[in-house]
Amino acid sequence: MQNKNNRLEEPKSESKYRAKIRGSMQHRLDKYRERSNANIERGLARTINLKDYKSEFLSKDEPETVGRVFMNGLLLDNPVLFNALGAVLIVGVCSTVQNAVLLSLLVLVLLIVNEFMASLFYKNAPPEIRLMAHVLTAALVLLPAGAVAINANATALNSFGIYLPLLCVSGLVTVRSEVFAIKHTLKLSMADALGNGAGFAWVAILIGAARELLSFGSVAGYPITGKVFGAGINYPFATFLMIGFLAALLKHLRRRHYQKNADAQTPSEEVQSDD
Amino acid sequence: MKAITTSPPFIRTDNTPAAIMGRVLLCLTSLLICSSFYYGARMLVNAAVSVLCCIICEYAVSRMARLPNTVKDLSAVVTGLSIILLLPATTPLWLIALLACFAILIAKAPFGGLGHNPFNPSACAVAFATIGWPELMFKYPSVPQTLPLFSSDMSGVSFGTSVVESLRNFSLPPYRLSDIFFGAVPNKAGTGFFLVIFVCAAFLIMKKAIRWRITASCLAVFILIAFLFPRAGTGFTAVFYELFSGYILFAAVFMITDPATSAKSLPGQYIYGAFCAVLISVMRRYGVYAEGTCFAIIICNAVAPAIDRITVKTAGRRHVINAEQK
Repeated sequence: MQNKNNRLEEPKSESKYRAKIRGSMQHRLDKYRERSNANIERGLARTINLKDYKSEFLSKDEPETVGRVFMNGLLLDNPVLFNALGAVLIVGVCSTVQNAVLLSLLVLVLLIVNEFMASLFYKNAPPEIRLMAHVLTAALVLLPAGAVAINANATALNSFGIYLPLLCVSGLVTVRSEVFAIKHTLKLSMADALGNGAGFAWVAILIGAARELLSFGSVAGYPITGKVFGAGINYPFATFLMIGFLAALLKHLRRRHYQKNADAQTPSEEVQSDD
Repeated sequence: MKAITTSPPFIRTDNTPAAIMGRVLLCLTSLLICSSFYYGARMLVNAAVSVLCCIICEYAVSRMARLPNTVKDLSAVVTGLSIILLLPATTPLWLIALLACFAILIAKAPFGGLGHNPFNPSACAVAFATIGWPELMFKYPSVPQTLPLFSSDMSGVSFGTSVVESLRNFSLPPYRLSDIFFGAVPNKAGTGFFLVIFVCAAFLIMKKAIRWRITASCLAVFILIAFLFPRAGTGFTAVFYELFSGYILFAAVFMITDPATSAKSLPGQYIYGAFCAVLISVMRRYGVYAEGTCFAIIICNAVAPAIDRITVKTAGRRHVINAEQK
């Protein structure tokens, strides 16, 4: 080990380190270290292509616990912000906080039942009919759920328009079932459903509040400022802009979180990351 | 080390971004001075607010992204000036500040700053204003008039109909042709001075600061469409009214020739200019707003890379065919 030449040196107690991180994780860290060295040779202070995807740190080597899966759905792998799954629902429906809350409840119910059925029964189905099964389940759940929602708040539900039946085929429900619930146990699927539902909910309510504040001057019906921002703030482009900037903010926070974790795991403090 | 092999006088032609922007800035400043003759010192206040906001936003963005200071390119100043020249002179100052921040923070910075923006930032800002505050954007003060310096209270100001609105109603504008040509009619601040814009265009083309092929083909096709489908008057009168109204000439010289957002290949520039002209004419005749040039420019900016790809491919194919025939 040459401390003077290499910026990133091998860790001091190697056996204890290897015991903690197994297999492909070590390989990925080695590749990252080698790339960082190469970049430092080129004069860059930090490695620009820091992989901050979920698979880097929540790999198959680490146990997937209920808590981890929930936090994934809520923050780290948010369906709206990082997987672009529910954006059209937010744009079309969530112009007020009331609409957003109603939509989030519907999505939560759909997600829970869909992932329940997918993780228990659709695992052994052939892949060709799995997607139809997800859509059918969602449609069959939406009928009673929609009826309950109409009884609760009919005016808000009327403003959903086409997006109410669109919930059955929306990616938010079917993609999570197909990608996650098919391959995992019931407990983890329920955690994923709750996490993704909560993740969608906080984004929808936040953007619904922003849109309502900007276009009507109230939040959840309580008037805060009476002024209307401008006639055009309720157009889809403004909502997509808000979603984009929220995603950028969350991506920045996620990157800092992962870099802190990476620094904690690798004993060498030469992993220069000044984010 | 460059060896200078020219003989005196040593005329310097920089090609740094700041120098190119500096030439465009000279032209925009001349338009600003013309408009302040007609509207008073309010135009200078507008310019100060807009440029200051643009510079502050650009500096903040370059700090956040840890880049070297990008205010030195003067591109923020150019964006700031072109925004206020495209708005009516009675635009409130808070709206100008908001639009300047929008242009830099939303239409330019998230895409990578100067050279990487896919859409013209001033066109985006004007589009945002047109959608959000149409009641403020289509009120043109009659000239000449001294507007209140800082306040948004425009109760003492008299407004008039612009040539674009008259064309929209298929009626002849109630102004003399010379008044229209010299900008003494209600119009956006700074885009009505067509003689100055012609001189600026000649200056920029001589200094090779803009892509003149785009301007030339855009104006040629636009004149052709205005001649074939007149809205007010016939023949060259229709062409006169159509060309010297709104900000088509300003857009053709300053906005669609932006090197970051326009087509780069030579045949592509002709196609791009023609496409811009067609889209601007369509937006003017069938769009929701009387002057929808900003939306047409944004659509054209989105199409420019595709035009580049198509024209480069055909050139390559032609080379391959020639080689095979030989």
